[in-house]
Amino acid sequence: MASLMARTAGAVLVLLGAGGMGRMFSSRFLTRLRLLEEARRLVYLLKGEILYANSSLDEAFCRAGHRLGGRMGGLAVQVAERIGEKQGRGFGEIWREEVKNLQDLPLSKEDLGQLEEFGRQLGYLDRQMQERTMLLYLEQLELSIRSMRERRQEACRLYTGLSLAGGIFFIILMC
Amino acid sequence: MGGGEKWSRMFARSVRDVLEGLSLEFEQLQEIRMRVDAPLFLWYGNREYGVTKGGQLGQAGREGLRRISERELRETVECMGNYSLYAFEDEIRQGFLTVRGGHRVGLAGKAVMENGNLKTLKYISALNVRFAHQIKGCGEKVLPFLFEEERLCHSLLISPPRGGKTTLLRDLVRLLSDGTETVPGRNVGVVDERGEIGACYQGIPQNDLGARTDVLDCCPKALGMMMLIRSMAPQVVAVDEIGSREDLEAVEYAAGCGCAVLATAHGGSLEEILGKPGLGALVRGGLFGRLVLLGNGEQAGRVREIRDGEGRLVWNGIFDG
Repeated sequence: MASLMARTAGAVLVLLGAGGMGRMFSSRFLTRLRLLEEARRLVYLLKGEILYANSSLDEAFCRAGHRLGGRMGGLAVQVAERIGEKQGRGFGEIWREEVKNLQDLPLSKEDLGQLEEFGRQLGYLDRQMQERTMLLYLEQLELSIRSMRERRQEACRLYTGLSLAGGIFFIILMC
Repeated sequence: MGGGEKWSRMFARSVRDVLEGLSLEFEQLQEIRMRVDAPLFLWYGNREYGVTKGGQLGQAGREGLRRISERELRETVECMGNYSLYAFEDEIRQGFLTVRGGHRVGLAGKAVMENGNLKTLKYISALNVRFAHQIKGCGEKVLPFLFEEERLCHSLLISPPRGGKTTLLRDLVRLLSDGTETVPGRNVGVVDERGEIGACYQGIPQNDLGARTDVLDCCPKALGMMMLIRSMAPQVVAVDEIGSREDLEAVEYAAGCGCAVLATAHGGSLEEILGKPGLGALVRGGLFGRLVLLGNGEQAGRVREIRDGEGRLVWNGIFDG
């Protein structure tokens, strides 16, 4: 009797754990989508600051970051602060280091690569070049966001379903 | 960048280390010149120095001075422009940029032309940084001479480059705005086309220009004077380095609107000013009630003489700004 109860409790815990894992994967997927949308809003704000207000990168990042908030806003504020510290290092280097700090976020390698490349090209040549750099990155973001939105429901269902199925399979094996 | 923020931060790391190792007094520092493959020169305490390879101040003409590499100059320009040279397109087109603190950086390189106009400078191979210093009180001795029967005259401050006219103008603005024991404070409008008077950062003057001063930062002088008169109703309008036809027309307009105009112009003497096509005619016509002539090289900010609109001496002698 005790053994059956322990097995049942174990099975319930495994199921709950599997469900939790499914939720976690879905949540990471949704967080990634939200971060990409935040990045897109950041680029829109930067575009306004640079093209309309002719702000320098530190001003643009500072104002856009404070306005946006969130993790991407934090990245922008941090970059502005690092520029303001005037450590005598190139902007590309500063940007790369700050993007590295985002590695704990559920962004894919490709997302981080595109973000890093975007910053590496900023500040080069004239305002037209800035606009093109931002438009290119916006285009890449649009593609990623669209593809994720199309897959959102399906992916969330899949993560939950697969995790539960995995859990059930594990219970069967254990029993 | 003057007092609070470290001025050396505008330079590339390696150059900054050298400059910081010299333990310079900012107040004595007037100019730094960098050229690719040439020594680093400083104007410090009214003397020119080079920097030795050992990181000491050395005589400018000597051998063994530290040379500036192409990479150091490029990184310095990027650092000065906050990695955003696109935001300084208009200034670079005029051959300079003004950095935080109001210091002016003159640039030389290869000109890129488009339809006969200068589009930008590339391969920047030389720069000189002229440090702005706010010297509070340097205008106190001059101010009383700018009045005639308690009315502030339109005044032109004249000096060669590095003569201290912008420093004097800045202090006169502050004194007129705050007021003194004998002069009540008044509303002053400053059109700071090159950002040297107020050294604005994000629109806020970093230099003390007085409590009643409105600054139009980075705005062309001619346009700015009109805007200020229409929008802010100043009693005094101050501008730096007038010279173009548009500037002179705007000065005439402002002078005819009941505002007192305080302006500066490049010139080694009154004769040089009178020889200039547009400005000479304005001065000869008596628009400026006071002409303040400043030092000729040996010490910045030294006032040599003050004349009235008809060229008569109001004061002469020497007092240091």
